[in-house]
Amino acid sequence: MSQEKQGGKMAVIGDRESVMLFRVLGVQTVAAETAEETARAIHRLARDGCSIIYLTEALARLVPEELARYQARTCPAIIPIPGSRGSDGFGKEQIQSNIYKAVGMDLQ
Amino acid sequence: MAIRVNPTRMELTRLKKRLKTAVKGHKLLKDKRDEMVRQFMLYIRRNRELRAEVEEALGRDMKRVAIASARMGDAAIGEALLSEAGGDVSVTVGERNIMGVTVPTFASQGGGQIADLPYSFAFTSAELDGAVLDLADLMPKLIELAQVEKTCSMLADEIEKTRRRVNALEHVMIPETQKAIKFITMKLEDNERSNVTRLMKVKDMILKEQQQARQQYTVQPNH
Repeated sequence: MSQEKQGGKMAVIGDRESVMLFRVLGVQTVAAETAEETARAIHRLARDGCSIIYLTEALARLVPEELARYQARTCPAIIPIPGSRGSDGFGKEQIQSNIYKAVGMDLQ
Repeated sequence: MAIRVNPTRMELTRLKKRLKTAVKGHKLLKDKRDEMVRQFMLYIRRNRELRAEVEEALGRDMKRVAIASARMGDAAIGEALLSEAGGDVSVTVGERNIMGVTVPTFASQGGGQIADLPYSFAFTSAELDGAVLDLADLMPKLIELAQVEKTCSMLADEIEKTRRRVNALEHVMIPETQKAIKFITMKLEDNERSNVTRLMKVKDMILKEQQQARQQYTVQPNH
């Protein structure tokens, strides 16, 4: 049922300060500031066969269409992470909206 | 509201068959939905835990980098972190099937250990080392978060779709088919009744005719 593929790529998109820490670990990083840059980076990484894309929450807020577009696909997984300015609750909101979608009400 | 259907026996059999399928499908979909919600609840719990953990740890790391950059200066830290790839982080990607939803599985490869820091220690502050090492430790968690969160969002999508289907069957398809079936049965019964009355009437008429004929026959010989 499950076939494994070695060497799936990961990438981080975010502003320069948030992203530079990941580069030391050998994760591909893309610096982006605006919605357009972010969207372009997402598309390029997805085409390159990136499996996981981490995206800072501030940028994730800018590109809801892109997130929705890739949500239905198995790969890539686009995951919001807190940026250098800390978490603004976007990730938690997403979890909550998933719960709402699945159960039909908000659970705490 | 009433659907236009031909009140024929053929249509009736067709509708009955369709109702049977709809009821069966409804039951199956409902079971599927219930099981998916159960699975979803397991995943979402893990998702919450992981997210809280990751957000806290990442926030701490980012703060450390901020302190380090305050000590070393923005340019120096940029330069230090520009030296690429101390470790090699990649993931093993697989696929898993949860109730007909294909979700990815990610497993961290090489465990995210970092052999040594790729920059020189001479001009960097200790906060930076700590931040980098902590982040390396956090990598497996981040990867698990990616898997769990993707699974959750895909499951949520599928659950929503399934619920719509269940509701459509339950509240639209099944009642309407039942109504149509009832309509046809009533119409057929009505036809049957009118047929019976017609027959009775015809029988009456024939009887009357026969009686008249007999009367004429019995009356004539007397003359």
